[in-house]
Amino acid sequence: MSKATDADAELGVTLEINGQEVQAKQGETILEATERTDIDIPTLCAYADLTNVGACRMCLVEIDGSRLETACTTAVQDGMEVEVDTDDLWDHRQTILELMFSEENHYCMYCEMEGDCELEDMFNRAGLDSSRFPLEYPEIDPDTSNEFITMDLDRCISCGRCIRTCDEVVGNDTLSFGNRGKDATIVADDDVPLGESSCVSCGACVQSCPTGALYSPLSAYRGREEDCDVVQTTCSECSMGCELEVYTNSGRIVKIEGVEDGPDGGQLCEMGRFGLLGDDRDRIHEPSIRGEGAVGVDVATDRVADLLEDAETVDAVASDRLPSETLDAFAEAMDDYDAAVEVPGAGRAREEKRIARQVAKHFEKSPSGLRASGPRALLDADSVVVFDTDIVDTHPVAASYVRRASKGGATLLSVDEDEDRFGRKSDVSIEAGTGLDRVSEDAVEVVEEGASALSDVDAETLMDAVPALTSGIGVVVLGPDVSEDTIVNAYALAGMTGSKVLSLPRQANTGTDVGTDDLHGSADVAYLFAGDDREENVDRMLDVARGADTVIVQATRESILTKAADVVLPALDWFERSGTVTDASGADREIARVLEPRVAVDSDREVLSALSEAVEPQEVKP
Amino acid sequence: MSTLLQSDSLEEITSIEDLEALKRDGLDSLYPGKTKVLVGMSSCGRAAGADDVYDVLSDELDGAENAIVGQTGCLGFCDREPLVEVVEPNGQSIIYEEVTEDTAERLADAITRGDLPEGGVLAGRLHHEARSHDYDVPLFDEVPFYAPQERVVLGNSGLIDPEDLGEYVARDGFFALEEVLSSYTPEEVIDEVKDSNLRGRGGGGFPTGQKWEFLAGNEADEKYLICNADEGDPGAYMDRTLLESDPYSVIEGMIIAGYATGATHGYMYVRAEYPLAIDHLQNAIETLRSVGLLGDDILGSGYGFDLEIKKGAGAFVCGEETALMASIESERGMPRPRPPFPPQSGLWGKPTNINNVETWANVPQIVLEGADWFADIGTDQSGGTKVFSVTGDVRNTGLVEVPLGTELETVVFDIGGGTTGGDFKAVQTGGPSGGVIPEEYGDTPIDYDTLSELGSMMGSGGMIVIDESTCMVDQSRFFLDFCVDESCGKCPPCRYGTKKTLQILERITNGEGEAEDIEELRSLGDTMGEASLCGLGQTAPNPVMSTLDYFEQEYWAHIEDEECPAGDCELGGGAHANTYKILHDECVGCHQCAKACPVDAISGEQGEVHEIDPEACIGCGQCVEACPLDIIEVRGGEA
Ligand SMILES: Cc1cc2nc3c(=O)[nH]c(=O)nc-3n(C[C@H](O)[C@H](O)[C@H](O)COP(=O)(O)O)c2cc1C
Ligand code: SF4
Ligand code: SF4
Ligand code: SF4
Ligand code: SF4
Ligand code: SF4
Ligand code: FES
Ligand code: FES
Repeated sequence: MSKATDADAELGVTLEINGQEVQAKQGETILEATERTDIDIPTLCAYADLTNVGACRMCLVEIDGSRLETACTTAVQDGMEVEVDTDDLWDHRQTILELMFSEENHYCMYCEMEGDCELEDMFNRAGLDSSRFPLEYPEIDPDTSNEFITMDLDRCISCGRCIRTCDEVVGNDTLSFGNRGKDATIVADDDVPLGESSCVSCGACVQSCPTGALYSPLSAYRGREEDCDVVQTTCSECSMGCELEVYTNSGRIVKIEGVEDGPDGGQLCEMGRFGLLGDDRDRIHEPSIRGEGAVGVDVATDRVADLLEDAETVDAVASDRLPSETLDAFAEAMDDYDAAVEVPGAGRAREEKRIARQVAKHFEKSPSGLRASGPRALLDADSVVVFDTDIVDTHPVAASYVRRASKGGATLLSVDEDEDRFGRKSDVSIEAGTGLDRVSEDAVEVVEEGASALSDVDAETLMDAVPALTSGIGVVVLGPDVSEDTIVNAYALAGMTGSKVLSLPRQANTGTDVGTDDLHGSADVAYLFAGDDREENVDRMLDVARGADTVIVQATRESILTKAADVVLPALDWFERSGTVTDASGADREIARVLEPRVAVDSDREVLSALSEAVEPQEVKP
Repeated sequence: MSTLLQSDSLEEITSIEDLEALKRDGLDSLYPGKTKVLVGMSSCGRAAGADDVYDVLSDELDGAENAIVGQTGCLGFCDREPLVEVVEPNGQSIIYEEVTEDTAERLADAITRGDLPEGGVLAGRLHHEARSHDYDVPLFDEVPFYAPQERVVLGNSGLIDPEDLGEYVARDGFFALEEVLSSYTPEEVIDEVKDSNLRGRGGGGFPTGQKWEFLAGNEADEKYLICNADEGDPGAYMDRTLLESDPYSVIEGMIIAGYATGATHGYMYVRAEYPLAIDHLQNAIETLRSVGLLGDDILGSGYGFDLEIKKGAGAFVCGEETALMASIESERGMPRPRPPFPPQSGLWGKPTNINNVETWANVPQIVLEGADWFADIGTDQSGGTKVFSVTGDVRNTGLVEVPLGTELETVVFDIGGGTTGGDFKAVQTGGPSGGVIPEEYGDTPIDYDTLSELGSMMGSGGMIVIDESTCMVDQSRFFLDFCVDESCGKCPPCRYGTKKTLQILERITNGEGEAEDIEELRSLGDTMGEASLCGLGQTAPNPVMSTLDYFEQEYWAHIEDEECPAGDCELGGGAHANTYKILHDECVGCHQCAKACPVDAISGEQGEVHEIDPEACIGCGQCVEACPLDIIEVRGGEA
């Protein structure tokens, strides 16, 4: 018997499980109570923080020698006597498992989840080697309409974990039960293929599925969990900074999962979970110089140093997805060559800081008092206003918190120039340019002309539009593509209503304070540190490249940008980097190296410091 | 309908004086001082042609000085529908059975002449002051079908116009509510119901007063009452009939409970397949709102209560209380684990009490007549009566209300008139959740505990009489077939256990059973019973387990001797062999099968789900050929 500690005594309820005294909290389930012990109650449908539904019946326990109840749904009571492992209970579990084995396809040898399957484990635990019943599962063709997620429903045990995950964690309500009885199954929306449904391919359901019914073809047959190394790192695809658990096997990434009790609740988006697995652009392994082809790293850095030194004007741009340490090294190196440095997106942060300061001063608050503590603040909100609903694409995990808030009863007001991406989840949709226009104009005045203009703010219009903000906890979300007016508007709104602003800029690493210079526009040399970036940042760099005589690109993979370059330097991929990024809430998150780089350089900072060293010798040498 | 009082002409009722005034009007409507012709027009009557009979009588008696035609509900003897009761101004009446349009015409003539025929008579009745009968007909209480019955909840059925509030009030309707509001504390109401020994009529038999007490004891900003009128058991129609025939009594019961428990809002969960019941309820609710008996400040008491109807999609599982509440919440009708029980956390997480239709209908009577009176009717454990729908191998079928404690044999032989196709073998109660009670226990007094002890259960009131012509394995197979279709699919013991059990039973009735099957049935039944989430799965094996308990030899006869002692099932080549079944979920109502059937055994309107009458079906297989969707199956075998 374990020694009761003081902490145990505070729990308040004492019960006996398998003859062992267990302390529990009032209102806790029997299953929760065992989590502090080494008693292992078998479960299949209970999962993480999802609502317990008592569906699979595995956790049936015998209470006070008579009734059977599911441990996952039954609250503890003082003096309760619980048995978990009686012969009777295991007989029932075995019969149920035999029924599943007979009515569903659990021929493990041909299953992608073999080895990582909770059901297979349960078969083994129950000592099931064959079934009394004939195998008569229906053959259901796998649904492969979603490129990232395969639904193979003849392996489905109808535990409903996927449904509850999509509903309670992702707030997306894509999945539900279809049909009844033995034909009960999982359907997407009104029974359409997953790929044509409202699914956002976040993969949360795949992570929660205990069997091989939901899996990603990107990870299939790449290795069981036990054969994998696991490294925890941070996604730097957007400013959410979700934690990633990266599984690798023999130098290959097998799969990426969310960290169940991580700050982002174990969620990831399509990009974080699947997009990062497969970048099919060609990798740049070694430096190259136009007209000369591949060259050694030293040759390339010397050439770059020469080009930079000879240039009258240098425009330097770096990806905002890079770790702060790397960006600092970049800024330092470029400073040595008197370059104008820009990190796209950093401008927004600077502007926002200025606005926040002014608004805060006006409302006699501290600027930080206007900022939300982080995206999870959405979950406690009573009302949410979103400016720019494109966060559904750019910050999908934040968007899921907005949906959850709305489902939980918060009032959701969306302001967008185009379609309201929250659709029916919004209580009010305002097309930007109509409803809040006037407020916006007036609010700009507040900021520009100081406190005196406040009386001009048409507070009433605003209050009419968002009465909910003034009662309870309000959060104002600023999406990526918002004008300066909108930013002002949002902060003024927050200031007036006592709400907080959650800013979700495109910039992934919000921590850097480098890179807010004005570029020359048509410089002699452009130094473009693209890393593994795609889309917006690359577009900006292309712009800069077009204006420059000579173009130097430091990049992970080939793109139109590298094709335009005079010198190309290799850069690390996301899983090879290390350092720190700062997320939207201002928290620092660690980027850890998952795999050793297999390119000519071992670190991006090494290349940058080589450039710095190339100028310094003349000055430092005696 | 020709009611004297139209609901829109009713005045507000705010006091006992108003109620008494309405009672006087209601009595005038009930007994208008001329001959009153009452046509039984609940669903069973209509199915037998009561609409046409009503039309004939109305046409013929249109403008008659001395007679008026009205509608009423079910008189219970559904076998003999259409029933028409002719009440003379002096209060003596004759109930005619199996009335056709022809006999209706002649009856109208006779009524105009003032001389009632004595043929085609079910019984005579005495109303209000009448003490004796001039006609030579057996009196209601002397007819064997009615003699052992005691009509407490069915007291108004077949007497009043269910759409006429006045006639309900004429029968002391809403005087119980008035009494409660004016002179009972909520605690006193609960005590009264507890003292009455009323137990839930929905099947489980939980003491009703105790349930109300739980609800009353839970403080909340909102509490709910629910009337469970899902009635999904095959063959059961007690609740439908009650709602069609006497909707006000159910509502009155709920308002009284609302006052006792502090609930102010109620839901009537009625299966959508009960359009007439829904109609009558809707009319009742609107009428009560218009006179102020629903809404704020009922009868000047300061207490307010309102009600709404929710239509259920007709899934058996939605009768289970947690699934029912999920369904009201617009969620999928899947049961949730209990605890928490509804009085702790029910509809939308608020404290809720749910009772069956019949349970509610008893409440006004308990208040009016007193708890002791009610308790005395039943046994020591349970007060009052129970309504059963008696069907199966029995001469008289219909709705029967007997005091709890009545012996099973009384129902089978006295009321039912004995079996039809051989010696009495057993009674099945509780439908798909219940089991059989064999002939040797025929003297068992009907009560919740006695039936449970014998491995069956009271259930909501289905009672199937079984004689030697019925195969017990086939009987179980029928119920398991039902459960396979009705399992919600949430938990594997029920989802797959029902299917596996059915397969084994089909094997046995097809003559392909094996010795291990008996053991397997027991093992599956054990796990389903113990491990299923809700009552459906927990009780689904009961029909099998109880027939195994009492009639195991019949199973062995199928397995070892390859014969059906009853000569009934597939193997026995009997009445239940080769019968055909339409898969309801898939039927599009093309009517092809009905056209193909040579004996008109298939019913159903174009566009609606069709049904094969197994009694009429001769097993020719024409319908299987005709069905373009291939959804007609041969019971117990391959089509
Ligand atoms: C599968 C299943 C179906 C049920 N169907 C009904 C029903 O149709 N009507 C009903 O009153 N109770 C039904 N019940 C019982 C209800 O869950 C509940 O116990 C009852 O409505 C309580 O009312 P009472 O206390 O008045 O009996 C059903 C239970 C189960 C498990
Ligand atoms: S889902 Fe699990 S139990 Fe089923 S086949 Fe796959 S590994 Fe085996
Ligand atoms: S991938 Fe995400 S959105 Fe799609 S069904 Fe699964 S949980 Fe829902
Ligand atoms: S797909 Fe997976 S998670 Fe969803 S119900 Fe089936 S087994 Fe459970
Ligand atoms: S939401 Fe952002 S940080 Fe999170 S996984 Fe997706 S891209 Fe990465
Ligand atoms: S026992 Fe049957 S009906 Fe009840 S929850 Fe389980 S599967 Fe559904
Ligand atoms: S884990 Fe409790 S029923 Fe599934
Ligand atoms: S709903 Fe089932 S009886 Fe369960």
